[in-house]
This record gives sequence, structure tokens and C-alpha cells, in this order.
Amino acid sequence: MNLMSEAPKRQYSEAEKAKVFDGEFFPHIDSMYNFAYRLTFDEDDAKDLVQETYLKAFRFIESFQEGTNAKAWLFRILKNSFINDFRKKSKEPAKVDYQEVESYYNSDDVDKAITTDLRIDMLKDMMGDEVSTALNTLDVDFRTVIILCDLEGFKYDEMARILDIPIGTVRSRLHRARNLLREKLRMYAKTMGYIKKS
Amino acid sequence: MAKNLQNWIKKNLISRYVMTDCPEEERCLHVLEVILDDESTLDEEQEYFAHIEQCWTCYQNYNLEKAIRELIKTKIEKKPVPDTLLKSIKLEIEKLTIE
Ligand SMILES: [Zn+2]
Repeated sequence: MNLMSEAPKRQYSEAEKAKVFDGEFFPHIDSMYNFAYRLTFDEDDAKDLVQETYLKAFRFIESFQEGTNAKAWLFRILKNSFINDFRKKSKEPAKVDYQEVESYYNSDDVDKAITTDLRIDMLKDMMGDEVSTALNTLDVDFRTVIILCDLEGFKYDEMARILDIPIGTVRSRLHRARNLLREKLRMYAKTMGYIKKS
Repeated sequence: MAKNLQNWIKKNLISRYVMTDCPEEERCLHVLEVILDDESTLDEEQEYFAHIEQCWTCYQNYNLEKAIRELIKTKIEKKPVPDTLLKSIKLEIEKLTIE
């Protein structure tokens, strides 16, 4: 994990460690647990992932610079742990609309800024379950950028560091993710009869 | 009427109401995304908001995108953290300290 390599090391006494954990790390447990759950879809895996993240944070605390964004630092560890240890065994929800989305994926349309026949009044009737399902059925890379940006409020540069990708990739991935999400919401509106099948 | 004046009226008054097809919709949608992410420059913002006052298409896109963001933020339920999690993490860290 290159987590340790980039920043100059800083020594922490036991008391300082406790202070950083209580003041800067533990307050993010809520966001981390929710992120972990939306990656793994399993409560026990999410707990394990969060615990593992905190234990790594403890071991590698020398590479954490106080005053820098603790939440982004923790999210980066969590994301790496997920990729290394959890991704293979995590259960993705059943993809009912797999084919339709897959063909959309592979078309050039996904990069375009698209408008749809989705309208605001259709959104008003959507329940949390439907929106969650739309998000949860996105491919994990797309799901991740939406969570980081729209739910957790990370900036593009923070996301680039968390995900180890260039800012340009953050932007294009986010753009694709939103197009896909919008498409899923539209498909939902269609099944509910808000949009006529053409 | 002077030709210039006619053009001026066409550009500034009439177009205000009849521009329902945006010639640059795709670019506008990209800018909109950046604005809603709070990553835009002041220039981009000023240009965009001046534009949507005249462009019905983009005005609608703006409202829809804002509504979708709002939907994601408000409708996706937060899972409560299990009570025991923080305690068990603290315990594990304690074990590491003793080692
Ligand atoms: Zn426009």
C-alpha cells in the first residue's frame, strides 16, 4: 500500500495518537460504515472493513499529517482494503436490468451529456428504496464516485487522491456514473408508467 | 427600423422567449455538472446563469439536475452504525498497543 510512502513521517506519542483518533478519526465512523456497506452490501463485511481501516490507520498513523483531511485519508485506506480483501467475495445485488444497462455502457452515448424525458414531477414520487436500488446496481467504480461526491461531499481533488486516479478521470467517471444513474431512474419511471414506451 | 435595431431586438428580446433548442446543450450540461459540484469558476457560473435565463432547454436541465442531486441526498437512507462497532475497534487498537 503506497499509503505510507508519500508523506513525510511524523512521530506520534500514545497520547497524541489517542487524541487524533478521538478528535479526527472516530467522528467519521458513520460515513465510513455507510461507505463500506454500499461497497459490500453486507453488514458484517462492512463492520470488518471499517475495523480493518481503523487498525491500519493506527499502524500507519505516522503517514497521516495532522491538519490534513482525515476523512479523505481514512476513505482511501478503506477503499484500498476493499479492493484488496473484500471485492472478490462481496455480493453485488442482482442486476435485473443488466442487459439494457450493459448495452448502454458500451455505446458512445454514455459519454455524451444526455437529456432524457425524465421530468421533475416523476422524481417526486420516487421512494428511497428506488433511488438506493438505482445507485446500488451501478458498477462499483461508478457507485463509488457518486457516493464520494454526492453523498459525502468530497471535492474532485480529494476523490482523485482517495481513488488514485487523475482528476480528469474523476470527472469523466462521475459524468458517466450520473448518466447511468439518470438512465436507471428513467427506466424506473418507465416501469411505473410515467414515461410511455416508444 | 434600422437594421441594427432589428437585430438587437431579435437577439435580446425575442430570442429570450423562443430559444427552446440549445445549440450548445452538451457543453452546458458539462458546465452544469461542475457548477452543482461546486467546482466551477466564477466566470463559468456567471456565463451559465446568464444563459439559462434565455434558454428554456438549459433552464429545465438545471432544475432537473438539481432535483436529482437533491433526490440522492435526501432519499438514500443512512444505515446506523452498530452500537458495538466503535467499542470493538477500540478494544482491537488497545490490543495492538499492548503488543
Ligand atoms: Zn442552452
